[in-house]
Amino acid sequence: MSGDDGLRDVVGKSSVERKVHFPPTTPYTPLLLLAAPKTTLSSLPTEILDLVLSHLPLPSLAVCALLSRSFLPLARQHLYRLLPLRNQRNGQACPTGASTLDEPSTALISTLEAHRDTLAPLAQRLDFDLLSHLPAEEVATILSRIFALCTGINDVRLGAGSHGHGMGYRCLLRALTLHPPAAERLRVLNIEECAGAAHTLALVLLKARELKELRIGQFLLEDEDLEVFCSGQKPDCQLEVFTAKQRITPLAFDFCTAASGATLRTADLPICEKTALDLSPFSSLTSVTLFVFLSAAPTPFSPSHPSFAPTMSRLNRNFASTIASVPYLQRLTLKGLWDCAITAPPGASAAVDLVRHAELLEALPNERGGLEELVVKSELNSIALTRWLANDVWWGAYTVEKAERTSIGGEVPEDIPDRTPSPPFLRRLPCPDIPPSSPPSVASITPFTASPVSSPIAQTPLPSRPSTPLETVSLPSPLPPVSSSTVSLRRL
Amino acid sequence: MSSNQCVTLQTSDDEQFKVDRDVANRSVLIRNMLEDVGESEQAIPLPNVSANVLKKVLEWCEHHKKDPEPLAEDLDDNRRKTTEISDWDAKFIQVDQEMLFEIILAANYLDIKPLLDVGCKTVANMIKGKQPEEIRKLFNIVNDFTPEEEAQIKKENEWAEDR
Repeated sequence: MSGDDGLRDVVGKSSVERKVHFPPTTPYTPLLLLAAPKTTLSSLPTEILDLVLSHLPLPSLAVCALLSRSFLPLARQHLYRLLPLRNQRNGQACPTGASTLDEPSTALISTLEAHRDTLAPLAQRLDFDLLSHLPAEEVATILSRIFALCTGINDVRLGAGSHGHGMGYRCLLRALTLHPPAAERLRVLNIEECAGAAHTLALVLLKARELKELRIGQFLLEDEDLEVFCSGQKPDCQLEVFTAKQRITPLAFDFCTAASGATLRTADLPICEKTALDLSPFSSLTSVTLFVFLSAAPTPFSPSHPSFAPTMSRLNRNFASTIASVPYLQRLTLKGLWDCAITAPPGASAAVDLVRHAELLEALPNERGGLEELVVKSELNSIALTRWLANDVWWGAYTVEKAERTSIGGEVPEDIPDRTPSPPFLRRLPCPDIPPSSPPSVASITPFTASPVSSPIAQTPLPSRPSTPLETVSLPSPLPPVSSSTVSLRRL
Repeated sequence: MSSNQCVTLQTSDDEQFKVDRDVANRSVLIRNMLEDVGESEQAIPLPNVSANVLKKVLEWCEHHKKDPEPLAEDLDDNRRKTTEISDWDAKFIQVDQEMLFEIILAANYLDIKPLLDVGCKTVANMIKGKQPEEIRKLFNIVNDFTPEEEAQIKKENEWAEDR
């Protein structure tokens, strides 16, 4: 084969023919002939087109499927990977006798049934917002039908809608009973917005043996549930991620993570003033998020409540001992979440956050080996933020990497003090022993409300705290309003 | 500036660029290479990137050299669905189509995820809200469906049109 024939194969006949038009003096230059063709959308590698499509909403994906034969399979993968099923009237109760699912959802299921060999296998995730007043049996039938049709579904989110009717867990359990293979395939289960009896959830978990990620809401499992309904069995699933959005009992936590000692990496847990959680069995747990959950009655939300200070003290102790029990912690996130937000007086969360963070952090071990990142997400008066950032005993080894605050009161708060250039000598300061969570001086923290505050803290020196030069950081004046804050710190 | 804070990069068309190490470090590929090679005066060859594209990529890296590493939670599916681009990035990416795709390819090769994201979001924004024929015209895509096939595909994905 001559050189020209070879080239002809590579660049096509027309390009080679164009060569004859070159002036005879021009040397033969294959580079010129083989100049890279113009890069176009269609010439991008599939993985990049995949990324582009991942940014598109469903209607645009439907349009992309119509572009050409090469776009069709890509667009289909994105269209059918996640099945969004909704009921009539967007989550509200539907009128009696109306169809269970809305039109697009019904059409989606019909399409999947018509193309059960080509489209149905593409589905991996199901996002199903339940109906509030439909019989569990009806929802269970739809769910089991989808499980039977789409055998690739391993990730299920059941949305809100149960409104305390306990439909969520029950219909899921029923669907898994109707189509047992679905339980074996489940890897991710998000039912944090559902409700139901604790034993029903326990029975679901006993079925889902391959579960890796579990996100739940409330789980108040008690000994009787285990004995009566589960015959003392515990789940086999080896979870990597476990999150509980509302209150769970220590027994529920033990139940969910019974076989996850070596696998659990991420946990998002509520901590209440009653008990601490023991995280010592989890050898791979590196990322922990803790949030406050108060269960005492009468709820001591108000700092003037006589049981406020003792409750906070117990809460802090539980936080500290939970954190201290993690064998190897790399990322710790603290955040506020209020189960009884409706009943809490205005500003209560800010008041508790202040105490919680200021005192909780005091209780944190100073030399927490391995901790690389600490994130605090909170509604918080910036005076408290200034307090933590100003204390080198805790933060000396960290640098503020990202700090975001959103003003709730409308006024943009002042910048968080920049701690990055702390003088080196500060880091060499010995960390004196901090007295074990001395009762917080919370009785004096009354005026924290959602409106701009005037706090005596601004004038009162912090109690029982070793002084470091940075504590003299001037506090903002006038005091900014309560703001939502996220602070991310990394070990230097 | 001492030489060990600078890195030399050599493009496919044999141009050399000397850049600060923290700028070059935005590329995971280069960062890993530097870690593997250690201190070296030698230019790092980038055979898949031409000079005019690298120049543009380095402009982005320079502007974003102090950005923190994206957290894993920023890369999940839900966040990806947003196609918001910062003002600076939007202005930076106002280039002709060929350069846009070249930047995307370079960001992919050099492993600069945030830049790859900016590029892909830009293309996604160009697609959003358009009809198939408009998109075909914009990106020079040939419709190789028969009218019957087109009608069938349209019917099968009808459910997604109002989502």
